[in-house]
Amino acid sequence: MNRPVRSVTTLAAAALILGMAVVGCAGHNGGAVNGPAGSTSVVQTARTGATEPPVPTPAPTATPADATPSAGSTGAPNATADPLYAMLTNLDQLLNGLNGSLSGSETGTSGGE
Amino acid sequence: MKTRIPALFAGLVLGGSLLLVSSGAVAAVTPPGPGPAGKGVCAVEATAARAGATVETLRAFGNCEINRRLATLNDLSARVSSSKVLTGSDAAALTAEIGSTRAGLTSLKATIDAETSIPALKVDIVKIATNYRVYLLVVPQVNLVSGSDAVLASQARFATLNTNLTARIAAAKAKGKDVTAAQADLDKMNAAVTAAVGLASPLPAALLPLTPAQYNGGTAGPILANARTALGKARDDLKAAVADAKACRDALK
Repeated sequence: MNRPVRSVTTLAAAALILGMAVVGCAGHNGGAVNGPAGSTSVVQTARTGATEPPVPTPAPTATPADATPSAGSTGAPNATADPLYAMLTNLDQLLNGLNGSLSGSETGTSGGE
Repeated sequence: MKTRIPALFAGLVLGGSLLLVSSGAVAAVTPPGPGPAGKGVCAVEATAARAGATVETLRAFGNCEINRRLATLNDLSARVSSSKVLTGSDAAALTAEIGSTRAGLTSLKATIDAETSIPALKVDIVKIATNYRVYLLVVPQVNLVSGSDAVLASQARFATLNTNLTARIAAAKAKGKDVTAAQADLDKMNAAVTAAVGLASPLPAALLPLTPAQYNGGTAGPILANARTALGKARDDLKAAVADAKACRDALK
């Protein structure tokens, strides 16, 4: 009596997972044909690899101080891919060096002369 | 004898940092780059020379003061050679000045090493500071010329930034977006850069020819002070320019 019930439950669970995977693919314009339908995350990974243009994704390491972390999800230019961010960061670094030069030229550093 | 000891200490004060070191009168400012290379590194020698002015103690003090200046010059030299903003001619001029100062101090060290007379040593020790002005002239020269050239180097970077932002403004305008604020920010950025470059441009030519003799005569000090003030204003202009660029970028979002 239990065995048929377990089989039906297992079948229903598998169908549910498969259904979720299909719905997930449909919501992202398909593209899951190459991936196994075993789990949603795998399907989405396959989709990303198949359909995304070769635009650099946000780097997992340091980002410029003025970069917007959510830029990629809001449709704004990707912070790490935008040359403007690199230019501004470069200028910030130049200003830091300039501050160092000014500090080093102060009379307080005269060394007792 | 009563007049010789005070004269000795007067010479030490002029030539190095004996009294300043012992009294702690020098402000405790730690520069980020080449600086005094440890104002207190000769404290032991200074104390010994003050306690008993002999040829040995004076020689040790003089050599210590020379060595710390040579260390500072080595740091400055490395900084000049690795600089990404110094122009070739300015770097060459600073390298030459550092080299001649190093050669002079090395020669003076040999003189001090060979000296056996206390009065002559007193004169030599005074020369460590007055003939070379490492901390009052050479270090500020390197810093201020480097800073000036950094401002000038920023001009090309801001020009690239201007090109980028101008294209963005044009694209936004083509899409019907109001770009008045963005254009105003960009104009402010360019004006600030022009002002900064105008302040920094004349500085290297004014700073590089300065000599220890001019410093001792009181003419170099005001030039250094004015250059520091101008460079500070140029720095503020560039900070404002960066802020304007960011405001322009944000206005286009």
